[in-house]
Amino acid sequence: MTLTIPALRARSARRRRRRPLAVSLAVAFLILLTVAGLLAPVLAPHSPDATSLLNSLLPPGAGEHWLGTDSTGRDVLSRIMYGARLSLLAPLGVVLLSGVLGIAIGLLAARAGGWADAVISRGMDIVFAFPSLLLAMLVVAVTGPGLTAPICALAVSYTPFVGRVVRSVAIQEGARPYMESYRVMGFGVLWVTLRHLLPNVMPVLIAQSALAFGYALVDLASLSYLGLGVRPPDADWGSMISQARSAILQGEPWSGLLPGLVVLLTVVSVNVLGEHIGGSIAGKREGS
Amino acid sequence: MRVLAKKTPARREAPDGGAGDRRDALGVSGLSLTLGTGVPLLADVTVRVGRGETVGLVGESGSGKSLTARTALGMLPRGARATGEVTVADVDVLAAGRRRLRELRRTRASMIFQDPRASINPVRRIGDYLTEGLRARGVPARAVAGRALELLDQVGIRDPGGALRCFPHEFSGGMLQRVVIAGALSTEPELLLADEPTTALDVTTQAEVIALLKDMQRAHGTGMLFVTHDLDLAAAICDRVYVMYAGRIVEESTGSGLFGAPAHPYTRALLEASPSVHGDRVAIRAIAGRPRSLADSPTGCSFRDRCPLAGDDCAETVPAHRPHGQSLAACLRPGQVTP
Repeated sequence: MTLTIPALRARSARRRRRRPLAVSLAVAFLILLTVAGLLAPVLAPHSPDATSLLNSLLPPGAGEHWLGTDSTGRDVLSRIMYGARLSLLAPLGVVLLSGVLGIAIGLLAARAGGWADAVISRGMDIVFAFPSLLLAMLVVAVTGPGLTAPICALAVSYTPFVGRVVRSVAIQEGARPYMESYRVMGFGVLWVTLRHLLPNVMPVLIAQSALAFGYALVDLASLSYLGLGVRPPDADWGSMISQARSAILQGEPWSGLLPGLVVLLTVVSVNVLGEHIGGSIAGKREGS
Repeated sequence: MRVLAKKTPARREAPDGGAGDRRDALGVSGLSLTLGTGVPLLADVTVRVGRGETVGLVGESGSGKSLTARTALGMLPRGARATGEVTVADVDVLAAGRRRLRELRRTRASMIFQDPRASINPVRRIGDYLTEGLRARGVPARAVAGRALELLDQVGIRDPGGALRCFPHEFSGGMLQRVVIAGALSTEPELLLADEPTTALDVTTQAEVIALLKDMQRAHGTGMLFVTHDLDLAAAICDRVYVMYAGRIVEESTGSGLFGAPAHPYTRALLEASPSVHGDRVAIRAIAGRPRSLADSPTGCSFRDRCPLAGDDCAETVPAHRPHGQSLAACLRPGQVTP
């Protein structure tokens, strides 16, 4: 008695399926930003710190400053490019740190159950209830400005964000029969958790991390805006917006609007991409 | 069916033909299980599966069939306490430590579940499933891929190489159950616990899977505990059948005797409640009342409140198993049922 596998054809068909335009655009934009940040010293038309009071607050398209200049005459395009380094890396750090912490705590709570779960969950609720910006500001107040402290503080306050989702998915997934079937095959709890439970938690985690990336970017920009993050003259999108305050009041909004637009587009792109990755991993298991 | 009379000699055929001293694949005696909250789940369950024997465990949902099978591998519900004796291939399961249990599950006893789709991690390929199991069971890394192919071939899957690269969702339920069976029998275990292995499959696939199971079992001399609520199936393939009700074994009978001469009123009632394609048309009779769990069953015989034959004496003690025809029935009036 033999059986054939009709599935092989279906699979190659799926490979040809095109990804949505929005995802392609998002990926393109993020690649563009990454390249711009990495190659800023080569690509940037001007030095990000070169001031020129004669050329201050130029609108976009004016002469050799494609995106105009800010109130001290620094080239906005160059500053956005250099700023991409910190503005992308710092939220990435937050996401990775909070992801690792959240996975560990969430899985522990889900697998331990009972009072350990209760203690961990209430602990997460408490951290969750504490405003992340406030925590970051407190930490900065203690350690002085700089990026390391706010990254760690934000990572801690984002941990419950990840941990709660991981916990709930892990509980749900851990109750499925295949968990038991691997135990019955003689695998230990830790092995099954890391090798079989964790991969099944990943789709949700990736989608969640993309959201967290957006929040972290905005939070870090807010900290910079408040003057607590990046120290001037280092470029960073948040601090660019912050420094454009007075210019905006003078009716010259470009030097603030453009970095703001970049923040917006980045957050949207990351969300679109995260959603897509999460969705396609989930789709694979549902058999679409 | 192109199934393996593989190189391994069937273990049950001891070279000296010795019968008496063969240890059982599974021996459960006097097993009682209580949750941490004091809710009883199983009481005084005794089940024996010899080498190469197929033993059925039938009963309604919630009667404790699966629980009994799981206990054989030491998979107790959280916080449950078990008393009695459970031995699988000479390992005292209830006393065994974690390491010993894992060793047992890895090499000597396997379990297959109702829904194969639910019992394989959906995000891993079939090949990963098999090789992971094989590696854990001590097959050297070099030999793993070949062995996996061999196993798939044995359970009748064409193009095993392609199958290894497939994801579970690309397989039908029946094929997936074959994969699971291949994995479960890869170590030639002494005991195979089959927890309703065909319930999720359609009837023709069911027949094929059963045939495959029996063939594999014959080839390896594996003892099989077949948990099901399909009475016809149990009677057809099992050497002996245990009937469970409310966490207790109420009847033990031979496979054929189950239909021929049911001794316990519950068994009789179950048979009357299931339709048959043979013989005259008979009205199907439901059993009055609702199934009880052990926790809320009456004193004495658990089936007392639904039994047409029950008398005052049934309330006094839980009836002992007494022989009746080919059966052992836990009833004071075995075989007195008038249809």
